[in-house]
Amino acid sequence: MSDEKLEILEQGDLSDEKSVLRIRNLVVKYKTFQRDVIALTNVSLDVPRSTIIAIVGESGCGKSTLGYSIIGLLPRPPAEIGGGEILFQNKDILKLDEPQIVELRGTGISMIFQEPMTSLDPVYSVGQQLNEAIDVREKRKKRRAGFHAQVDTSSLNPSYAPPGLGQRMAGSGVSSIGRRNKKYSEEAIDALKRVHISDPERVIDKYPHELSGGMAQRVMIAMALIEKPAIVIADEPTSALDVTTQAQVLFLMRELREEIGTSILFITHDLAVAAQIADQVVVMYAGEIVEQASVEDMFHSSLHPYTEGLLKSFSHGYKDEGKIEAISGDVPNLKYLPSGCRFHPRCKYAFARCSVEHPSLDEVLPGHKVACFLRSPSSSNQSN
Amino acid sequence: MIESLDGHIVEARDLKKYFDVRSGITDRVMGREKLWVKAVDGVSFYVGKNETLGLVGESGSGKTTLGRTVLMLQKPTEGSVYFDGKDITKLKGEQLRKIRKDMQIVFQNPMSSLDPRQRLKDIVLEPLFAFKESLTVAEIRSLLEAALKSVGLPEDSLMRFPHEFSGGQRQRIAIARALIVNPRFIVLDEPTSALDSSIQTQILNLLRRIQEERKLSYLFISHNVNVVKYMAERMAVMYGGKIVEIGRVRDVLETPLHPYTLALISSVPVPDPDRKIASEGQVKGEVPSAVRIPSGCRFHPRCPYAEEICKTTEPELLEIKSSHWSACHFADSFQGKALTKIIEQSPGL
Repeated sequence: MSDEKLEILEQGDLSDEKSVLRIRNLVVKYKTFQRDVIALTNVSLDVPRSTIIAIVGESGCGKSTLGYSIIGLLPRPPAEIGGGEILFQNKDILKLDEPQIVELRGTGISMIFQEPMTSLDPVYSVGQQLNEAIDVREKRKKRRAGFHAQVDTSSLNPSYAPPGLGQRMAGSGVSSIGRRNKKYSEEAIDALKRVHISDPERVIDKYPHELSGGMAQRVMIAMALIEKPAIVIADEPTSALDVTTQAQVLFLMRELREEIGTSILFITHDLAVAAQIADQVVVMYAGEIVEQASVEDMFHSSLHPYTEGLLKSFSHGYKDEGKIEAISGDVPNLKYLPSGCRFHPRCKYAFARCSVEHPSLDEVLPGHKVACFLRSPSSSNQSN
Repeated sequence: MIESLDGHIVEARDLKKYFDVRSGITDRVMGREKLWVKAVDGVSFYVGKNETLGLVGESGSGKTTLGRTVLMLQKPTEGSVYFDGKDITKLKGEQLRKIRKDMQIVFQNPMSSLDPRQRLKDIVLEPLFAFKESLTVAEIRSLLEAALKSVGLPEDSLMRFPHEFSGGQRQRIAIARALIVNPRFIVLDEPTSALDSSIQTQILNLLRRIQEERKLSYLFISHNVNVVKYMAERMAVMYGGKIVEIGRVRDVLETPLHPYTLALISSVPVPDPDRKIASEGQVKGEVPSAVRIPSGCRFHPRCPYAEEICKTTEPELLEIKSSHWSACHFADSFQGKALTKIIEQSPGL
């Protein structure tokens, strides 16, 4: 385990110890023929190592846009970065060109999507795609080893000697891997075992359309395990799955973090799922972060009125126990955002200041941030 | 299961719906043996007057097909459906049409269940014209106003098209459309699954209010156990085309009598970080193919309590406790096991 963790550090910049990813004042717009859709406004977030952060929100809150921005899959145009930066390994991802971003994907930043069937290539078998993941990882290591040979590595633990590249290749039982090669390495079969697929030899030959949703999602996680990324962005990975399969996949994702120390940005609309998997929770509304806290604080002592309303809609009692109070109104149109606090038209606590000034995201308790004048009277008026 | 027909608005008896998988030309020419998808394979239940029966199941359980078959949107392969005491599976043409006014449906996807080229007023009024109601313009106007008021849609939205409304509003339109002919029974097929959580609560509250006001009966189909808990007095759990457990909601959720129900309940995430789902959930494997159904009890390959008899003999749905039925050879002794497991491991509800 320690060997694997050290490998990630080698790939990364050692000076960036606390955070794997740093997002600073990100602004993303989508240009339309009419007005711009302001998808993200001044979003800032630090993702520490080996941490699972749940990004929770309803449609239009910007959570998916955030995920796509990080992995560089935002279609630009029509999307436009209006400002801010995303720092990974001390480089601003937003300023990288396509080949540089491609280099990061897989082994640096990985993504798991909602529809596993459409993320896997339909014309290659599971084994071939796993082989490709191994291949990509090995080729990159080779390239970097060639480069780092010129870098002074005396600052690394002197007693640790990484096995030679030749040894690693031979040890994994791989001769010549390529996508067309149907010889599946032991590592590929092993990866399937690690995601609790009970008959990996049979599954490895299958094509994506022959797999169930849960199985396909496990294959995606297996691929992530192989490439050992520093951070995985999971965009609603269990929303399309049955609840029993979802429980299995959530368990697997926790194992992912335990085994290889990867951080996970878990994007979901489901607060209950967030409670199951996250260390920290970030609540988004209309393109902004409105509350951020540890998972215990978020569920036991949330502060923002929107979070309060959202929590209620996940706490159903029996039919004879009365009705839950619903948040009135609809999610705002991102082209025509309300003035002041974006939640104020639906907020039962709203007062005069809320429609005029826009609250900033403040840390009101250690590790607990909220953007609300009710909870943080000293909150400043931040430009909208 | 079949008590008296009094007080039941809808009753299904041994309902089956099979789909023919090999009916193409090539299959017939090659003389291939017929292969059936047994979506609904012998289901019996009733829905009482002014009550909601929840129908819970995962994908492939047959719940959507059951909902449609009960309304005769699909002809059953076998079995019967009684509406207010009358066997509607024997009805055809005009007789069946007359009954349809009393039974309506609201679908899951508010985007695709509304005709994008129709204005709101046309969508909501369409059922009236389908049933060739002879009404004056004033009567139509007042019915329309009443329907819109019931679902909380503003009157100035009459001339708008579906794309001008949000998801929640579109679902309100679908509900108004179902209500305009004054039905007594509505099948709600995952009516809030495609909506945001905060909107879900609004729509669920709306449905409850309408039920109270009009004394309606609902068949509420959902994969979400928590929603069914909020909406129904009784609930049925479906697996592989059959009902495996049925009873009052509190009984089924607090003292389940079937291993699948227990597994389902234990897998439902609770919005409380201190109550995490134990291990990988209580069940291994995945839902079986509806074409190759396991022998004996359909759930046996995945059941942690399965024994020899489970592989050979299909268990009957029997009344184990008062009004609480289960299809499991060990339902009796399972009670004890279930309680211990719930206390130990399940995050509860």
